[in-house]
Amino acid sequence: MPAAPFPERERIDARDKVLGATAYAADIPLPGLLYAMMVPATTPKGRVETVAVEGAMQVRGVVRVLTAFDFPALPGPPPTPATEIAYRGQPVALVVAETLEAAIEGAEAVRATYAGQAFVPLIDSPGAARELVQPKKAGNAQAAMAGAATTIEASYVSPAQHHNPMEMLSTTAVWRDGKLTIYEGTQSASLVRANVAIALHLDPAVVEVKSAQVGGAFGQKIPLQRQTPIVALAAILIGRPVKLVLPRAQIFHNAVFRPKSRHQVALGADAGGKLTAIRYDADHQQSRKGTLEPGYHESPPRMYGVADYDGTAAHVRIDTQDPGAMRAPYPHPAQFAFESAVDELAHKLGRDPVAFRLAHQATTDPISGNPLSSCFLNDCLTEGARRFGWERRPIAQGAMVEPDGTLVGWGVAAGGYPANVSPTIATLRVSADGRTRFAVAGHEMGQGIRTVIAQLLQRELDVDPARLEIAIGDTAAAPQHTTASSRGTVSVGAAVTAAAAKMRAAMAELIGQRSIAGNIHRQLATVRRPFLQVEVSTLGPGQDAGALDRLRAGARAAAGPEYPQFTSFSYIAHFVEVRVEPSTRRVRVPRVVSIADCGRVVSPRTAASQVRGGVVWAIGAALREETEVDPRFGGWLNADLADYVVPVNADIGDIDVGFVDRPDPLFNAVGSKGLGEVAMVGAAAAIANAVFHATGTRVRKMPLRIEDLL
Amino acid sequence: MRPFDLLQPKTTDEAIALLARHGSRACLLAGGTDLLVEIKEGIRAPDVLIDAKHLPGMRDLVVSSSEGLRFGALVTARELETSPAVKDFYHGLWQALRELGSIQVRNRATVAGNVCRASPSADTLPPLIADGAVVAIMGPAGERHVTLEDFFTGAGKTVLNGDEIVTGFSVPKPLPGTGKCYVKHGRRKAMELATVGVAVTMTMTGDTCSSIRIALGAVAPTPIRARKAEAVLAGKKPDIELIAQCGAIAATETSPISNIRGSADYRRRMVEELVQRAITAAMEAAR
Repeated sequence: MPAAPFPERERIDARDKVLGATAYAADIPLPGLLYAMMVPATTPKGRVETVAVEGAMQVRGVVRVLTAFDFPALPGPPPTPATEIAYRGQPVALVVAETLEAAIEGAEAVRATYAGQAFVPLIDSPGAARELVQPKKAGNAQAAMAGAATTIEASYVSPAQHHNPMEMLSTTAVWRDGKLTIYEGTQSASLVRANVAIALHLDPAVVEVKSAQVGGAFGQKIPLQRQTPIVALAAILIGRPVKLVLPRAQIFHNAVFRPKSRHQVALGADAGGKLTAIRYDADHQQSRKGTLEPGYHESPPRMYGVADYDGTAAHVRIDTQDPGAMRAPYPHPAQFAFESAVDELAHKLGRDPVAFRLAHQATTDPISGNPLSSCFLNDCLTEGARRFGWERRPIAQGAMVEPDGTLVGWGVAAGGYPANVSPTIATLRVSADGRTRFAVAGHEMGQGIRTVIAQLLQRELDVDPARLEIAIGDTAAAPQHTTASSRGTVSVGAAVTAAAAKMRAAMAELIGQRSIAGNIHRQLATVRRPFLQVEVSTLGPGQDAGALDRLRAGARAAAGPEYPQFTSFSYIAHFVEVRVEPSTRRVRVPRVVSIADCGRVVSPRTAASQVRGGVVWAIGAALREETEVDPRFGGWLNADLADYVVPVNADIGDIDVGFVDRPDPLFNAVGSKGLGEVAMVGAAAAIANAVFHATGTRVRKMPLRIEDLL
Repeated sequence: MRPFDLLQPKTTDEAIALLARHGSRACLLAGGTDLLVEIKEGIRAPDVLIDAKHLPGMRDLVVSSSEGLRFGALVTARELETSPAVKDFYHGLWQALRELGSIQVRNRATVAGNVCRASPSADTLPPLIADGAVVAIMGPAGERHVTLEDFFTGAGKTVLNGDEIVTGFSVPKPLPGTGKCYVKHGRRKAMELATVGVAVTMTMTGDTCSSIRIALGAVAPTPIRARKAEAVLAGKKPDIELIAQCGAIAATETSPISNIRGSADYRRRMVEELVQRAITAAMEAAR
């Protein structure tokens, strides 16, 4: 029986956040703390020949300088300082000092010399190596394309972009009595534990990772961060706690980023105007040894029920740091290309772009052949069009002009994102004194997972919400899956449901036939039980117990979006108004309507915030953000927030968010699907489509710059 | 950050003597909103910082329609911005101040620092040049005065000798019938460096433009006057064609670079457009 709609409830951590009282990893006070600073490589590729640390050791307050020679040799690309330099900015040394100032001064005094090598800075530079991966195909797209009455083909480009969460990347490591404790903002506390143990030849059992609050993550904090084992080793060697907070420019050069990607899309429609064939090739910037798959064929085949799909993809290997996940890593760039192309096809067919999409309701996944567990994209489109006033849109471009010459355009685009789930191991303890403690996998990255857990617990059990402790992001509390790919709510939903059922059963056994008044705490007090504790484990559809072993080991344990009986996706439709100033061609986005299908919405307040945040990010992605490389030197040119331009508050207009809020009972008992990532998907294409409607100019790259419209 | 010695002279003479002694090893510190960031990032590495904040007589701010505007080198951007008379009589400068960094920055930053930093895109420079501002400079040989227009010799370079200090600014009183405007053009609406900045100060006698000064920022190594464009309008009755011609000619007087904020071609086009807007706004204000 799927859950009824959930009530609006405020974030449980809102007050602390507004007051600045929330403690992040770098805020943890520790006696005897030392401060560290990394020394970045000043060559884009080569070999470290010498590292002179004497100058640094002469700086008053510097305690120790660690270089590659201090670290155990490892097979494969080491996460610690190495003599082989693969990218500009790679850590060469770590300076540890009594004060932050001394650490910075010491880092500046370290002198390294390099034997430089030729390097490949850009994906279109000579020497960039294209490496094909397994294609993704369904039906016979070649034949369908040959038989199509109308076709379009175009190329689209998505730039390299960098995460810039408010919380800087940091690691604080404590080595005490043979145990290593790491405090850092991560999405993967168990993975950090496993990988630090490997890097430093430690038993994972002596490592704990604590990440109670994360100040924004969005994929940047999924993998082991470059600095973590380095700082951990410093703490072990020195025997005092060590903290490193990376400066912004070092974050640009060492954290994962969204790789530049190129997308070639061809669409075919039959004589009746029905989309019948999709051919889509994508490649992306990749480091020499990086593993982020070019997985751009996740969402396009699952949008419009097209049986014939031909998807190819490739890495383009160059000399850069490892790219990684960044909010909606594949669907955001893929849907920018695909939904722009759908708009181009609708235009060529003379069809309204909303009506064209509505005519293509998807019910099955052509890749697996299984049905979709649910797809309410058409509800998103219909409700969005209603709220936006879409019926007043003239189909011709440049038809809406303000008296001052401002060009107005309305655009639409849709998004999809895999509905994933992780196995969980959770512990629920309810006490007679009014306390409740729920320990589970999950990381609070600002998305509101604690609020979601509180919401679910309060529906399932009559617990005191004021005395609720939610222990997440802590390897000592429960095995921590990677909180990513929009699987947080779905995964904890299963855990809470199972734990609450077991708790109710345990209470029933305890109380028997008696009728006891009051809430669960009161009932425990009445029967003289100080507390009751249950432990549960949950699995995704089709998973076996091996998934729990992988979860415990900090390895990949999640499932989705293809399950044995069905495929599961979340959907969204974005409607955008742009205003293009007549002479400067500056593009403003005063109005957006976004309607999402994420199954049952568990926390309406934080869900709406997620969508607003995703739309803001898409405005930045579509109009502002690009990290640029100077091909003469490698590395990132605009590695600070003065030159990596994101929107400011004044750039953001009205964002109206709505939800279909229909449960997906096939996928899980609560009926929810993921939301965080899908929120952003398609919104950039909606902006580009609106710009086309305003100006008649089709811009096929992000960011769309004012020069492109002159 | 590299360590440095902080010296805090109490008199201008003492400050000048310290500058003479330490030469290029020293930097003068006022608000520090640029300097300290550049030291932190290793762009500058002075051995000595000479703190100007304790020098006497540099915090005065006098402004009125009859006397004009005079302000010392330690007057902050925020003090000028919140002066109603600056808003009324030096409206272009006020508009520029409103878009300089954030309020937090403006609480610390000085216009003197903005001037001496000599960034081509600095917001306060075009309106001050359009208003005919004069810089007061103190050195070992005494005081001298230089028009702001002649103060800059290149990007980040000025006529200041190593042992000279800017002590303040004087800006002529506005003539009757004068209108002013500064247009800052950037990609986003706040916390932005100008892609193009245009300042116009023009005086109307009836329907005739009796004088006009157009100053442009971020389109040449220094802020510049668009003198040929000014000549198009001076003594004429501005109409739409003439104003458009003025914009087109102003664009030819620039020598912009292409960078991450905009291409040279885009900057020239924006000069053409924004000069027209600024003239129109200044004309409206003049009436």
